[in-house]
Amino acid sequence: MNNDFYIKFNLPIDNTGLPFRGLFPDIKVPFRIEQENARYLLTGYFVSYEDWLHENDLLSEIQTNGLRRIVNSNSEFILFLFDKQRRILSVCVDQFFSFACYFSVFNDSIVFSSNFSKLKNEVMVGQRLVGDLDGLLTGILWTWHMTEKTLIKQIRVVPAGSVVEFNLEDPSSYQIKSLVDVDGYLNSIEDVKYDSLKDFASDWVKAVTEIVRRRWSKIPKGVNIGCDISSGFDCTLIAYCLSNVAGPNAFTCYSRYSDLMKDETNIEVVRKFVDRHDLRLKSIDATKPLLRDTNYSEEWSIDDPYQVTTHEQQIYLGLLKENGVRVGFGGEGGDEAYMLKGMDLFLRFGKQYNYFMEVDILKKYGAKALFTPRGIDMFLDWDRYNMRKFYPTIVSESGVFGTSCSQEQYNAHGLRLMNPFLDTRLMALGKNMPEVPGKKKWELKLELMKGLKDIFVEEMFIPKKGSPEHTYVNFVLNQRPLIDSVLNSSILAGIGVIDPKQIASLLDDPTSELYKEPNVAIGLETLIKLDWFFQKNDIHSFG
Amino acid sequence: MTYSVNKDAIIFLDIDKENSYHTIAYDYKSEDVVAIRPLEYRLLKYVFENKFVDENQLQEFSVNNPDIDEFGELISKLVGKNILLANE
Repeated sequence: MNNDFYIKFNLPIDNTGLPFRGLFPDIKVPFRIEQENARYLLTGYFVSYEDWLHENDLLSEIQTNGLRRIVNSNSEFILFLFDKQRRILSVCVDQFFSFACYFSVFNDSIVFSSNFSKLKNEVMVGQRLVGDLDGLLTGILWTWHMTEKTLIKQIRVVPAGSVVEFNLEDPSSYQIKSLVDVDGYLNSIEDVKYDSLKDFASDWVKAVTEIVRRRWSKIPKGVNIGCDISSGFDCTLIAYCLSNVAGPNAFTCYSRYSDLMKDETNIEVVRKFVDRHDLRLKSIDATKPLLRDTNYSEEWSIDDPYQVTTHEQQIYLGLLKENGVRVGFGGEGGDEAYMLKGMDLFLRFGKQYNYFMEVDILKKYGAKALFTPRGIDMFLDWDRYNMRKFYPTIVSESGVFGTSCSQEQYNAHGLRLMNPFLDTRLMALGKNMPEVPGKKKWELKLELMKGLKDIFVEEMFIPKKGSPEHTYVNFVLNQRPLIDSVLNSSILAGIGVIDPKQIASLLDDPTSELYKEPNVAIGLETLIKLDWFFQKNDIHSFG
Repeated sequence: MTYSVNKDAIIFLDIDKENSYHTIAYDYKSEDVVAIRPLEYRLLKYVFENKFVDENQLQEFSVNNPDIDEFGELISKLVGKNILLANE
């Protein structure tokens, strides 16, 4: 069983709205919605974490106020709204990107799916796939920005907080509009002055507890709940808050660990934390995938551009599934929730902010080591940014994309991920976090956590000795034949982004930065995966 | 001494006009983004369009833009943040 939806509308469609009924499988939460009146038919999934909005009142809310208020609320949804009178189909997803909705218009049909691969396989019947150059360059850098683009030109995705309107008389001329109201949100934030981080910490825990309670209270009775846990602060805080609202026996904590993860997940620390709070724990050793020593040329999927199915997340999701979990709480977006100083700038100037992130990641990748001068020019070409549409997000884009990518994997296992840190009320409070003289904004989280020593165990405050990033070097060490074979037919070389000879010389030199700097190895693995994906899907032209 | 714009720290886009020439730059000193006001934008765009400008050109720009107060301090601030590069 999985949570994916796949919907194909063959045109023309009459005014009865008949093809829009019974489209979505029941995934328990968010709730399956089907509401209708003389003018509209509304279907999809919806759950609201707001007092003012109830799932049963959805159609009347939309008929009165349009989609804007619900997009700017703390709700998770994907909605298909069919206007029988105007023959317009509107497809809208929430501002947290908790539902990916890929779509394509071709051969007198519109196809939608939560699963990129299923849609790709349908689109490539009878037409040659074309790569999206901006999608590819963004994919190499992993600096996702909210966009309608994917890696493939013929496939688009509904951007978070946006609506796509299809006139059924001419569906290929669809319109995409963002409904996220950044100014309205920023103007609504109350300024609260805190005298100390300790005072703020107390309100912070209350607020996180409240947003966890709102989510937990929506989960139907009998649905098995899990909570991700590591030796970091984010998911442990969520587990603590969930235990306070639901009781320690209402859920089980799940952890993947390995010595190779260094201190990212130290299972001894995790055990101390769960013992302190009387939580239940199940764990799994995730060392094997971190070695990156399996036969990737067999294991990699032609349907999965990022090859996430080969990663340790699969082991973790298998553990959840084995234990009957249907809803998993997580801590994605936690880091960003403590770095909101200046948020009005990065919310309003998202294109520019993304450019700085790409400059930064290129430096970390050691741009000159991996890419040609022409490739670097392509990454940083200002026209690439000029041509992008801007879809603002209030919660962090990295948290949103992390969640969306994970959600696709959760869906495949019939699971649903809940990330309470993706909540605009929490962002509003986070903006009021007091500064600490001499500390940069990314250092404030640790300072704040020091005020919460009754929640966390002592060992969590010991500075980390490393992270799993170093394991990417294993890809270089163990996958040389695959790397050589991809480079021999490289599509990225064909468009001038890389030079295989330049990369071969890096690989041949054991003293090169490839073996010393994990970020360079991450960059190499990413570009090899993407090159492999384009080769296997016979994608040679880009637009 | 000549000045140039650090292309890693600022990007000029078509959307700037729509934003009334308010934008952001990356401040390499604080390692964070900072607001760029229209008058700073005007100066940075002038330097960028000329690739390199010397102190005489900056002086001339200052005379032609009398609404920019404390011009010298502004230059120092932008240089301090590595948004404007001072080349020996």
